[in-house]
Amino acid sequence: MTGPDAQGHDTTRHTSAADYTQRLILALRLHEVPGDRIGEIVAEVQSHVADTGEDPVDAFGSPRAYAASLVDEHRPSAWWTTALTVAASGLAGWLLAQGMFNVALGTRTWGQPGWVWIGLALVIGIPGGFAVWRRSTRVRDPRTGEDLAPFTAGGLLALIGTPVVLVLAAVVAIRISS
Amino acid sequence: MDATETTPGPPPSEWLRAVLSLAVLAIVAEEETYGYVVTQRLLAAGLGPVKGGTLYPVLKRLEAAGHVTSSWREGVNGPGRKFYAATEPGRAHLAERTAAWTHFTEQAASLLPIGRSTT
Repeated sequence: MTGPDAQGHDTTRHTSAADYTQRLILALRLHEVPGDRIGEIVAEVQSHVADTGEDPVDAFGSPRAYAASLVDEHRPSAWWTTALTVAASGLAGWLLAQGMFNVALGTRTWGQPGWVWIGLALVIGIPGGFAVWRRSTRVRDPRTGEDLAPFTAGGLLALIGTPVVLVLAAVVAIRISS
Repeated sequence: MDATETTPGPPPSEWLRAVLSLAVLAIVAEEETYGYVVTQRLLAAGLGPVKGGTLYPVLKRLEAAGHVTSSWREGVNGPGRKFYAATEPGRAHLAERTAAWTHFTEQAASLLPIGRSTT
Protein backbone atom coordinates (compact mmCIF):
# COMPACT_ATOMS: atom_id res chain seq x y z
CA MET A 1 0.00 0.00 0.00
CA THR A 2 3.04 2.25 0.17
CA GLY A 3 5.54 3.39 -2.41
CA PRO A 4 5.04 4.77 -5.87
CA ASP A 5 2.02 4.11 -8.00
CA ALA A 6 2.83 0.73 -9.57
CA GLN A 7 -0.42 0.41 -11.53
CA GLY A 8 0.24 3.64 -13.40
CA HIS A 9 -2.78 5.46 -11.94
CA ASP A 10 -3.25 9.03 -12.99
CA THR A 11 -1.58 10.86 -10.13
CA THR A 12 -3.00 14.24 -11.14
CA ARG A 13 -6.35 13.23 -9.60
CA HIS A 14 -4.70 12.69 -6.22
CA THR A 15 -7.01 14.29 -3.72
CA SER A 16 -6.12 15.77 -0.40
CA ALA A 17 -8.19 14.27 2.40
CA ALA A 18 -9.49 17.69 3.45
CA ASP A 19 -10.65 18.53 -0.06
CA TYR A 20 -12.34 15.12 -0.37
CA THR A 21 -14.11 15.68 2.97
CA GLN A 22 -15.51 19.05 1.90
CA ARG A 23 -16.75 17.70 -1.42
CA LEU A 24 -18.31 14.66 0.24
CA ILE A 25 -20.14 16.82 2.82
CA LEU A 26 -21.55 18.98 0.02
CA ALA A 27 -22.61 15.95 -2.06
CA LEU A 28 -24.34 14.34 0.96
CA ARG A 29 -26.06 17.65 1.80
CA LEU A 30 -27.47 17.75 -1.73
CA HIS A 31 -28.96 14.29 -1.09
CA GLU A 32 -30.53 15.65 2.14
CA VAL A 33 -28.64 13.22 4.37
CA PRO A 34 -29.04 14.24 8.06
CA GLY A 35 -26.06 16.04 9.61
CA ASP A 36 -25.23 13.33 12.16
CA ARG A 37 -25.14 10.65 9.45
CA ILE A 38 -22.90 12.87 7.27
CA GLY A 39 -20.52 13.13 10.22
CA GLU A 40 -20.44 9.33 10.55
CA ILE A 41 -19.78 8.77 6.84
CA VAL A 42 -17.01 11.38 6.72
CA ALA A 43 -15.37 10.03 9.89
CA GLU A 44 -15.45 6.48 8.43
CA VAL A 45 -13.67 7.71 5.29
CA GLN A 46 -11.04 9.65 7.25
CA SER A 47 -10.39 6.78 9.67
CA HIS A 48 -10.16 4.18 6.87
CA VAL A 49 -7.83 6.31 4.74
CA ALA A 50 -5.62 6.99 7.77
CA ASP A 51 -5.35 3.20 8.37
CA THR A 52 -4.71 2.14 4.78
CA GLY A 53 -2.82 5.15 3.41
CA GLU A 54 -5.00 4.96 0.31
CA ASP A 55 -6.18 7.87 -1.79
CA PRO A 56 -9.83 8.47 -0.72
CA VAL A 57 -10.91 8.44 -4.40
CA ASP A 58 -9.35 4.98 -4.88
CA ALA A 59 -10.94 3.59 -1.72
CA PHE A 60 -14.40 5.17 -1.94
CA GLY A 61 -14.82 6.54 -5.47
CA SER A 62 -15.53 10.19 -6.25
CA PRO A 63 -17.40 12.10 -3.51
CA ARG A 64 -20.42 12.48 -5.78
CA ALA A 65 -20.53 8.78 -6.72
CA TYR A 66 -20.06 7.64 -3.11
CA ALA A 67 -22.81 9.98 -1.89
CA ALA A 68 -25.12 8.72 -4.66
CA SER A 69 -24.41 5.09 -3.68
CA LEU A 70 -25.58 5.85 -0.14
CA VAL A 71 -28.92 7.47 -1.02
CA ASP A 72 -30.91 4.24 -0.75
CA GLU A 73 -30.56 4.59 3.03
CA HIS A 74 -32.15 8.05 2.96
CA ARG A 75 -35.24 8.89 0.97
CA PRO A 76 -35.11 12.58 0.10
CA SER A 77 -38.34 14.48 0.74
CA ALA A 78 -40.84 14.79 -2.12
CA TRP A 79 -40.56 17.71 -4.55
CA TRP A 80 -43.89 19.19 -3.42
CA THR A 81 -42.68 19.64 0.17
CA THR A 82 -39.76 21.69 -1.16
CA ALA A 83 -42.13 23.73 -3.38
CA LEU A 84 -44.52 24.25 -0.44
CA THR A 85 -41.66 25.35 1.84
CA VAL A 86 -40.38 27.85 -0.72
CA ALA A 87 -43.88 29.25 -1.38
CA ALA A 88 -44.68 29.51 2.35
CA SER A 89 -41.34 31.20 3.05
CA GLY A 90 -41.96 33.74 0.27
CA LEU A 91 -45.47 34.52 1.52
CA ALA A 92 -44.32 34.71 5.15
CA GLY A 93 -41.47 37.05 4.21
CA TRP A 94 -43.79 39.35 2.31
CA LEU A 95 -46.39 39.41 5.13
CA LEU A 96 -43.65 40.04 7.70
CA ALA A 97 -42.24 42.98 5.74
CA GLN A 98 -45.76 44.37 5.15
CA GLY A 99 -46.59 44.03 8.85
CA MET A 100 -43.34 45.70 9.90
CA PHE A 101 -44.03 48.63 7.55
CA ASN A 102 -47.53 48.97 8.99
CA VAL A 103 -46.22 48.99 12.56
CA ALA A 104 -43.33 51.35 11.80
CA LEU A 105 -45.46 53.84 9.80
CA GLY A 106 -48.68 53.43 11.84
CA THR A 107 -50.69 52.36 8.77
CA ARG A 108 -53.01 49.45 7.93
CA THR A 109 -53.22 46.96 5.06
CA TRP A 110 -56.72 45.89 3.98
CA GLY A 111 -58.03 47.46 7.16
CA GLN A 112 -55.86 45.34 9.47
CA PRO A 113 -53.01 46.62 11.68
CA GLY A 114 -49.42 45.41 11.24
CA TRP A 115 -49.48 43.02 14.22
CA VAL A 116 -52.12 40.90 12.48
CA TRP A 117 -49.88 40.49 9.42
CA ILE A 118 -46.78 39.78 11.50
CA GLY A 119 -48.72 37.12 13.44
CA LEU A 120 -49.96 35.55 10.18
CA ALA A 121 -46.39 35.59 8.82
CA LEU A 122 -45.15 33.69 11.87
CA VAL A 123 -47.96 31.10 11.62
CA ILE A 124 -47.12 30.46 7.95
CA GLY A 125 -43.36 30.83 8.23
CA ILE A 126 -42.51 28.80 11.34
CA PRO A 127 -43.36 25.32 9.91
CA GLY A 128 -41.28 26.10 6.79
CA GLY A 129 -38.46 27.46 8.91
CA PHE A 130 -38.54 24.32 11.04
CA ALA A 131 -38.31 22.15 7.90
CA VAL A 132 -35.27 24.11 6.68
CA TRP A 133 -33.68 23.96 10.14
CA ARG A 134 -34.12 20.17 10.25
CA ARG A 135 -32.31 19.83 6.93
CA SER A 136 -29.48 22.07 8.04
CA THR A 137 -28.61 20.21 11.25
CA ARG A 138 -24.95 20.46 12.08
CA VAL A 139 -22.45 17.98 10.69
CA ARG A 140 -21.10 16.55 13.93
CA ASP A 141 -17.85 14.57 14.08
CA PRO A 142 -18.75 11.41 16.05
CA ARG A 143 -15.15 11.14 17.35
CA THR A 144 -14.88 14.57 18.92
CA GLY A 145 -18.42 16.00 18.95
CA GLU A 146 -17.14 19.03 17.06
CA ASP A 147 -18.58 20.54 13.91
CA LEU A 148 -17.04 19.27 10.67
CA ALA A 149 -18.55 22.15 8.71
CA PRO A 150 -19.04 24.95 11.23
CA PHE A 151 -21.57 27.67 10.47
CA THR A 152 -19.71 30.87 11.32
CA ALA A 153 -21.20 33.55 13.57
CA GLY A 154 -20.52 36.11 10.81
CA GLY A 155 -22.56 34.07 8.31
CA LEU A 156 -25.49 33.79 10.73
CA LEU A 157 -25.36 37.52 11.43
CA ALA A 158 -25.39 38.35 7.70
CA LEU A 159 -28.32 35.96 7.11
CA ILE A 160 -30.53 37.46 9.84
CA GLY A 161 -29.17 41.03 9.80
CA THR A 162 -29.47 41.78 6.07
CA PRO A 163 -33.32 41.71 5.82
CA VAL A 164 -33.69 43.67 9.08
CA VAL A 165 -31.31 46.38 7.84
CA LEU A 166 -33.13 46.52 4.45
CA VAL A 167 -36.55 47.01 6.07
CA LEU A 168 -35.24 49.66 8.48
CA ALA A 169 -33.54 51.51 5.61
CA ALA A 170 -36.78 51.43 3.60
CA VAL A 171 -38.76 52.79 6.59
CA VAL A 172 -36.27 55.61 7.06
CA ALA A 173 -36.42 56.42 3.33
CA ILE A 174 -40.25 56.53 3.37
CA ARG A 175 -40.28 58.71 6.54
CA ILE A 176 -37.87 61.20 4.95
CA SER A 177 -39.71 61.41 1.62
CA SER A 178 -43.19 61.91 3.17
CA MET B 1 -5.50 -22.36 4.27
CA ASP B 2 -4.51 -25.50 2.30
CA ALA B 3 -3.42 -23.58 -0.78
CA THR B 4 -2.38 -25.86 -3.66
CA GLU B 5 -0.65 -24.97 -6.91
CA THR B 6 -4.03 -24.74 -8.67
CA THR B 7 -5.42 -22.03 -6.34
CA PRO B 8 -7.77 -19.94 -8.47
CA GLY B 9 -7.70 -16.15 -8.44
CA PRO B 10 -10.20 -13.92 -6.65
CA PRO B 11 -13.83 -15.06 -7.02
CA PRO B 12 -16.23 -13.47 -9.54
CA SER B 13 -17.59 -10.22 -8.13
CA GLU B 14 -21.22 -11.42 -8.17
CA TRP B 15 -20.30 -14.37 -5.91
CA LEU B 16 -18.52 -11.98 -3.58
CA ARG B 17 -21.55 -9.70 -3.49
CA ALA B 18 -23.72 -12.65 -2.44
CA VAL B 19 -21.53 -13.74 0.46
CA LEU B 20 -19.88 -10.47 1.55
CA SER B 21 -22.46 -9.46 4.15
CA LEU B 22 -22.33 -12.91 5.80
CA ALA B 23 -18.51 -12.98 5.68
CA VAL B 24 -18.28 -9.53 7.30
CA LEU B 25 -20.76 -10.57 10.00
CA ALA B 26 -18.67 -13.72 10.66
CA ILE B 27 -15.46 -11.67 11.05
CA VAL B 28 -17.11 -9.18 13.41
CA ALA B 29 -18.75 -12.01 15.39
CA GLU B 30 -15.34 -13.60 15.98
CA GLU B 31 -13.90 -10.48 17.55
CA GLU B 32 -14.91 -6.85 17.97
CA THR B 33 -12.90 -5.00 15.34
CA TYR B 34 -12.72 -2.07 12.89
CA GLY B 35 -13.02 -1.59 9.12
CA TYR B 36 -9.38 -1.90 8.09
CA VAL B 37 -8.97 -5.22 9.93
CA VAL B 38 -12.15 -6.53 8.26
CA THR B 39 -10.68 -5.77 4.80
CA GLN B 40 -7.41 -7.48 5.79
CA ARG B 41 -9.27 -10.58 7.03
CA LEU B 42 -11.30 -10.74 3.80
CA LEU B 43 -8.10 -10.45 1.77
CA ALA B 44 -6.38 -13.18 3.83
CA ALA B 45 -9.41 -15.45 3.35
CA GLY B 46 -9.02 -15.13 -0.43
CA LEU B 47 -12.15 -13.05 -0.95
CA GLY B 48 -10.10 -10.39 -2.75
CA PRO B 49 -9.53 -6.74 -1.96
CA VAL B 50 -12.74 -5.08 -0.79
CA LYS B 51 -12.83 -1.28 -1.11
CA GLY B 52 -13.91 0.99 1.75
CA GLY B 53 -16.71 2.26 -0.46
CA THR B 54 -18.12 -1.29 -0.54
CA LEU B 55 -17.38 -2.35 3.04
CA TYR B 56 -18.87 0.54 5.06
CA PRO B 57 -22.31 0.44 3.39
CA VAL B 58 -22.39 -3.33 4.17
CA LEU B 59 -21.54 -2.64 7.83
CA LYS B 60 -24.18 0.09 7.92
CA ARG B 61 -26.83 -2.30 6.59
CA LEU B 62 -25.82 -4.92 9.18
CA GLU B 63 -26.16 -2.25 11.85
CA ALA B 64 -29.54 -1.10 10.54
CA ALA B 65 -30.71 -4.74 10.65
CA GLY B 66 -29.64 -4.95 14.30
CA HIS B 67 -26.99 -7.61 13.62
CA VAL B 68 -24.08 -5.36 14.55
CA THR B 69 -23.44 -2.44 16.91
CA SER B 70 -20.73 0.17 16.48
CA SER B 71 -18.85 2.63 18.68
CA TRP B 72 -16.05 5.13 18.13
CA ARG B 73 -12.87 4.59 20.10
CA GLU B 74 -10.04 7.01 20.64
CA GLY B 75 -7.01 6.26 18.46
CA VAL B 76 -3.54 5.87 20.01
CA ASN B 77 -2.18 8.35 17.50
CA GLY B 78 -4.28 9.76 14.70
CA PRO B 79 -8.07 9.77 14.37
CA GLY B 80 -10.36 7.38 16.25
CA ARG B 81 -11.68 4.11 14.86
CA LYS B 82 -15.19 2.75 14.62
CA PHE B 83 -15.35 -0.68 16.24
CA TYR B 84 -18.04 -3.17 15.27
CA ALA B 85 -19.40 -6.03 17.40
CA ALA B 86 -22.03 -8.67 16.62
CA THR B 87 -25.27 -8.60 18.63
CA GLU B 88 -27.14 -11.70 19.88
CA PRO B 89 -29.68 -11.48 17.01
CA GLY B 90 -26.68 -11.05 14.68
CA ARG B 91 -25.09 -14.27 15.97
CA ALA B 92 -28.39 -16.14 15.61
CA HIS B 93 -28.71 -14.81 12.06
CA LEU B 94 -25.13 -15.85 11.29
CA ALA B 95 -25.73 -19.43 12.52
CA GLU B 96 -28.96 -19.69 10.54
CA ARG B 97 -27.47 -18.30 7.34
CA THR B 98 -24.31 -20.38 7.68
CA ALA B 99 -26.42 -23.54 7.75
CA ALA B 100 -28.46 -22.31 4.78
CA TRP B 101 -25.28 -21.36 2.87
CA THR B 102 -23.71 -24.78 3.45
CA HIS B 103 -26.89 -26.48 2.24
CA PHE B 104 -27.02 -24.19 -0.80
CA THR B 105 -23.40 -24.70 -1.87
CA GLU B 106 -23.75 -28.50 -1.44
CA GLN B 107 -26.81 -28.47 -3.68
CA ALA B 108 -25.03 -26.33 -6.26
CA ALA B 109 -21.96 -28.60 -6.10
CA SER B 110 -24.12 -31.67 -6.71
CA LEU B 111 -25.03 -30.18 -10.08
CA LEU B 112 -21.49 -29.21 -11.09
CA PRO B 113 -19.14 -31.62 -12.90
CA ILE B 114 -16.82 -31.97 -9.91
CA GLY B 115 -14.38 -34.88 -10.42
CA ARG B 116 -16.26 -36.00 -13.50
CA SER B 117 -15.09 -34.19 -16.59
CA THR B 118 -11.56 -32.99 -16.03
CA THR B 119 -9.59 -31.97 -19.14
